[in-house]
Amino acid sequence: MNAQNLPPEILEHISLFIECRPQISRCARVCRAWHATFIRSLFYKIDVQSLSCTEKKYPTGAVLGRYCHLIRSVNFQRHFPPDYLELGRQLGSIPPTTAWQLLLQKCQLFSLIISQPHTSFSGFGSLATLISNHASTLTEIQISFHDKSVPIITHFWNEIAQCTQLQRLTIRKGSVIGSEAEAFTQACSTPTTLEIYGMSLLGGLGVDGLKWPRVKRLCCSNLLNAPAVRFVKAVISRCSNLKFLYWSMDMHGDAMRTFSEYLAANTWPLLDSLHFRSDSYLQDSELFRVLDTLTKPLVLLRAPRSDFSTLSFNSMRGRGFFTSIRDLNLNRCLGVTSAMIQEILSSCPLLEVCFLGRIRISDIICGKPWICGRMRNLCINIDVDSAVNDPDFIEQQHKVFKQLSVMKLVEKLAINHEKTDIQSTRTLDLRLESGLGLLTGFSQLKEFWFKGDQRMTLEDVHWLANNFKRLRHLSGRLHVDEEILKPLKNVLTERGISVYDGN
Amino acid sequence: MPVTLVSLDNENYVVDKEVAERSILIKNMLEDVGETDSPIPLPNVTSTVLKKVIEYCEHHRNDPIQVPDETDDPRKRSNDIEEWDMKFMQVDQEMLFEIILAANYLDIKPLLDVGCKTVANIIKGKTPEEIRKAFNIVNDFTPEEEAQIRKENEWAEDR
Repeated sequence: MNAQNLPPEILEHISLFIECRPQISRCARVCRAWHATFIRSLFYKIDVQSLSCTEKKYPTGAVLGRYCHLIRSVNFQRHFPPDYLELGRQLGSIPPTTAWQLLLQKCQLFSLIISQPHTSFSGFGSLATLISNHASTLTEIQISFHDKSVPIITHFWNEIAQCTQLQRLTIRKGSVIGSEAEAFTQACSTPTTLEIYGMSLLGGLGVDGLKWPRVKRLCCSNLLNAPAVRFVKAVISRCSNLKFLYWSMDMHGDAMRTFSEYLAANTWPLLDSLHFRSDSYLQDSELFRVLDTLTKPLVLLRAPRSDFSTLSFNSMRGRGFFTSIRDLNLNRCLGVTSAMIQEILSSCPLLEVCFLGRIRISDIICGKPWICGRMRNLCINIDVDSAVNDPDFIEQQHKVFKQLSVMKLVEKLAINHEKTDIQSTRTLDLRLESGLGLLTGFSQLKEFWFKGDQRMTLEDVHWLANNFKRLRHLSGRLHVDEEILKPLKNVLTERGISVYDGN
Repeated sequence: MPVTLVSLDNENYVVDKEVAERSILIKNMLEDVGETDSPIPLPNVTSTVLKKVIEYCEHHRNDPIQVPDETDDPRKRSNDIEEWDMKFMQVDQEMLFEIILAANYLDIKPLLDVGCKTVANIIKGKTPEEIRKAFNIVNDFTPEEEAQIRKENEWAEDR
């Protein structure tokens, strides 16, 4: 057995570990067998960008034509290469757009990302053709417009509306005017995930009588004018199969009332995931009403900086949402107490992502065992509320480490992430003598964040590097003393772990 | 409970069940037949390679089973090989590829990964000619083909 006659699937697995494009290209030039495998990697995703330098970093139209059956994703940024259209002329007298069709009929395009076309951008006709040719395979279209003014592109929206497999449509910036309204609304009703950020509408859009049963995830924020807000409100009420809603326009007052009315009318019987942006400033009573009206068990709640407090907490507990919640973000919610956080971590078995505030060591020790064994991403502030010299301190910390140790799948962990005054920047002592060794099961941990000064030893840091095998980034000061800190940092950086210590 | 594995050349190896079950193939076979004393034939693996594979499984017997990670880049990192694994992989190329093939057949994903990472690390930084030399690969392109491939890949190369 040698490298020339390896089975293709093994060679392909090796190719996954070759990261940079030039190296992939060099591998493709080794021999025929390697060419067959590595050329797939090379053409899997193509980025087409306008660059200040004259040389191109994307294949010529002719080369693209030869390998188009391997392409799965094309990303156009500010640029649509003229020679992709010129291809037709090279081939003979076929009109450019037809050649473009011929070219792309062979390739199965799944993802199309178009960034920042200028107002003068004239490639929408070609892009519409491109979309039209891949209407049966395209699953994702993202369009980021350069600014508010966008040419009228009715045919472009029409083609998107024909994409039967579309799962995600993202539109950033740009504006839509009355004459293309119908095409635009049709396009928006096509995907299962619709994201609209920073849009404005010129003139009203009629959505009467329309139903949008396909849309399951809806994200809207930064709508720039009143017609856009009206449009989104109308759209939301028509998505009868909505499961996830991210809505950030001023939830206070009018929008919040509308939202509550829809909820009460059981507009979304499947809704179980709610994300309110941090500038929504929801009141505890408003959140309570929402939680109390939901039909399905809550799976995701993100309400950072909200007034979430006793009312909402009791509602979650009373309605049994502790057993269904997987993603909870109550970061910077001043009404969330340390005792509440302890109860959440010891009552929510399905939690995978969790952002919470300050929890006192004393509450962790006296509380029930944590049961959040599925946690992947946890961000909390563990506060030391006892004196360093207290004889029980080491034993207490062991208990905290023991609670943490149930999270065997954790990938990102922050145990003290908030900026606070000096007195409260003390957190767990990350040393083996204090119980760090109890975290031996954290083999999936990739990122570890802590604030405040530590006094780790070489032995502690070696242990950390040996046990947290997938660790890529650590943010925190390993030792107060600058001289001692340096060699400790080196242990980690030599293992390819990036360290940020605030300097 | 011990399990007996039989190599291509009819050597028997008795290993703990949890060691043998590092191989998803063997794990599934054991689950299919239930509790059994009968030896498991592995007709695709020679005794020299099987010995090596068992050594790996013994060392990693307590590792958590890898969960597929969808958030990870499809492009994987090859610079995170553990020290023990690195030493374990210091074998001649013939053996290296045999281990990779055995890991693929026995379905031991971490061993397959570490083997492929080792090959990837040999490849890195090398020109096509250097790669051929490193792996004793014959250049089977015609000069015309080679020139054409070089030209059409120009966009992807360093400048």
